Amino acid sequence: MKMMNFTDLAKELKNHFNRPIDGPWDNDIFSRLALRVFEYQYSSNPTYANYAEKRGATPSSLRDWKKIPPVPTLAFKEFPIVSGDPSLVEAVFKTSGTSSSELGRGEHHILDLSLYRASLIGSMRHQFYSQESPALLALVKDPAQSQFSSLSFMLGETLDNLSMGKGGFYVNEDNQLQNEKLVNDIRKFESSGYPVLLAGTAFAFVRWMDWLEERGICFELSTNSRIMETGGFKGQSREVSRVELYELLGRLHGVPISSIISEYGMTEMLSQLYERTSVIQETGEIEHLGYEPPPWVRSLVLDVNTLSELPAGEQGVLCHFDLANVGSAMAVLTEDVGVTLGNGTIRLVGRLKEAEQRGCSLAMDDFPEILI
Amino acid sequence: MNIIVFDACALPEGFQKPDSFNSVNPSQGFTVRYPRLVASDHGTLVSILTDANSEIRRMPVSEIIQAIGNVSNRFMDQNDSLRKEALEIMVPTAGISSEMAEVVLAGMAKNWTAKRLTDLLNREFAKPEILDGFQRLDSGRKQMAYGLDVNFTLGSGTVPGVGVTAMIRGLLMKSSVLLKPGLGDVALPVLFARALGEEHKVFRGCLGVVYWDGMKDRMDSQMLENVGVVVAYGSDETINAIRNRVPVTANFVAYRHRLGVGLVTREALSHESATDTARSVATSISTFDQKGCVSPQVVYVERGGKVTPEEWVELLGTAMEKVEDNLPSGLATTEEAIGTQQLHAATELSQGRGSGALMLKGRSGSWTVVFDPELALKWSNCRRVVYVKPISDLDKTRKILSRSASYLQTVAVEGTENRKEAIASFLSQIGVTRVTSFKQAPWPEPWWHQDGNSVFQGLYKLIDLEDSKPR
Repeated sequence: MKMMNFTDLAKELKNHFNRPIDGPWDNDIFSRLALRVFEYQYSSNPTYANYAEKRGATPSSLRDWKKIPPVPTLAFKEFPIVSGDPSLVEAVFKTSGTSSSELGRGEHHILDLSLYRASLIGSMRHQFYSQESPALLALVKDPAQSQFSSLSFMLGETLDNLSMGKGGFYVNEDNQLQNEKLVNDIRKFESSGYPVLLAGTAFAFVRWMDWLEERGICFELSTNSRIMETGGFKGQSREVSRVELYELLGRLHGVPISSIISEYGMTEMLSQLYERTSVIQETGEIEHLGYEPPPWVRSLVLDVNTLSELPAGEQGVLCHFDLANVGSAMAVLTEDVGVTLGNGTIRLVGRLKEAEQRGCSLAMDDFPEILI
Repeated sequence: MNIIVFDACALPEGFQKPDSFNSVNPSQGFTVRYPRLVASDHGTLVSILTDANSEIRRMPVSEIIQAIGNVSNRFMDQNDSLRKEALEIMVPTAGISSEMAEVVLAGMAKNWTAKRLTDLLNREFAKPEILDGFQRLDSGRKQMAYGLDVNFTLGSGTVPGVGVTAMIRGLLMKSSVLLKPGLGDVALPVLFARALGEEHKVFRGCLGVVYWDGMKDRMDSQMLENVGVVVAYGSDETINAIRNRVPVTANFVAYRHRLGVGLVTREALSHESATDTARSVATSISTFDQKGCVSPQVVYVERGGKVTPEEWVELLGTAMEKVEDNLPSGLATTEEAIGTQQLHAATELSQGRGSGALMLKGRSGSWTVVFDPELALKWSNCRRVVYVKPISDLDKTRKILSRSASYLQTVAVEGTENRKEAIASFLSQIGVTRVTSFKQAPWPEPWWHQDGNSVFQGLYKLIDLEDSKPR
């Protein structure tokens, strides 16, 4: 009975995700679906139901999707969060982050990969494939070699379904970037004038560009090529700021900075947010336009002490409501700090910069505290 | 006083301070300024300190002790403006309450008195005058202890007072000292260095304290070439990064971040003692707002006492609230507030799975006690959060702790003295180097052999002068 509910709900959601994106949905549509997903998760996940009740929320009492009790990312490290039959879990993705204690990595148990596929393809098509079908050159491991990486899965699906198999993965099993291979393949697309989508983490891009600069290599990617940078807003590899990273990405690959798009994703969430960049003409400064969720995701900025919603412009902790997470937890309380901008998008602040931590306890090591 | 800006530097005489400053706000409305040093400044600093070293070397160690002791007395004198200034700056820089600042300063400064420092040297050396010149130790040779010329200490991420303690250790060895304190510990070493300079002009040349941001401001590796010893405090990542830059010719002393653990034995859980035990444990957790390597993050509670671990947790909650009343915690940072929300929500969720976890929270979310039957070691990055885990079998606990052996150091134990020795003995097998009571846990003796080594290890060398043997 419950699984029927899941299948029906998942099917309905996939239909929505498959439609071309044309701005945010009406509040009524999102609200209706979100409350149904909450009702489903309440009825299919006793752990969550117990928690929701403690926080004063039941399907019969709840009218406002913003009041759906969020599951903290920490819980994904402690036990499987599954809304449905755990024996039907199709895949488990794991976070890569370091963790204190013996808890280890967070895990996202996925009941229905087709739902993930529908969400990511809907977003990727909207962001990168609306005009062309660029080849995807991914600075991550092949999904076949990285079964727990949601990023590899996402780019694998994109390669198969949107780039029609054109492109590949350029990090090998030993986590080494295949620099020469990537240079050769970029050159081929460059000379044929075929657009590419170069995708990778900020960390991989820094290593890649260090390698290029040492050899004096740069490219002129074809018109309509794009770069997708992910995971770069927190911490940094080397001492490269985001502005430096974008300037270098643009210069070494011959693409305008407005063609660089940042992706914000997390293992605990099946949908992603994207941020476009522009250059202010008068000053030449790079302007990040804020992360925009797909229509089936709403993101709130909450007060860190009370978890009440903050008005635009005030800094707080991000909480995402992702309908694609119907098989786990739709409402996810993150550890990320952000601000809602006037246009409804989110500016990520990452973890508030505290230059150094105040302590010598190991418990402090969760925070970056680098070098002298 | 109403200080809102603090210049985090006390630089040696002869060093031309740059005109420009960087600044950082460790708390809202409070600014720490520090000079913007370039690579050549670092080199100049080291060379000034090296040149000035001959001055402190001529000073008898007893006089050095006296000068330091005099400053220490000022920090303990309720009417001294130095103490008032220190307390005022400690609050926003260390992020602690004013009540906690008083407790921390009192606990630290009492170990900087002339008497304690004399005791400290007496424990290290048969004759502390060995620092002043050759002393006959036995027939056949004389010996002298010679501190390295320049001691460079990097105190990233330290609790208030750690920087001064490190600085004093260097000065007692007659080294010139350059200290980069952690942001949370900028107040005491800067004020201490200034006051020491007022005590005796020698310290105006051989001592430099300056803060910079380890994440943003690059330091010139070359300065490491000319120092005798580098002392570094920090996470494994930080220690590793520094160690890789220290030349093989210099000594390197590391103080890694550690995890404090507590153990309450069944003997401490009689009806008469359980409440007192809870009080000691609560105070131990709350001191330094649990930021110290000696602060218990997890407490194992043995079953079999008159009071069960489940009942005792309630007592601990009551005690935590009382400590909060008397010794309030500092304002939580954004990260800590988020961490607390995560912890509370995740624990509530786990309760729905029948985890058996119980959670007690302070009125204002300022402390959290999680009773967690799962034995695996857990800790939080928030302040005043403790996991309490019931145990029936001490040996099982040792096995669990052994998985994190490289992070263990201090274990606080509450129980009868005769069992303590047996417990210390088995804990020693997994790397624990200090078994103490909860009351003493936050306040190790100055001669505490951290990691089982002398606190002066690596800071000096011994020189033997062998007698000529008759032909």
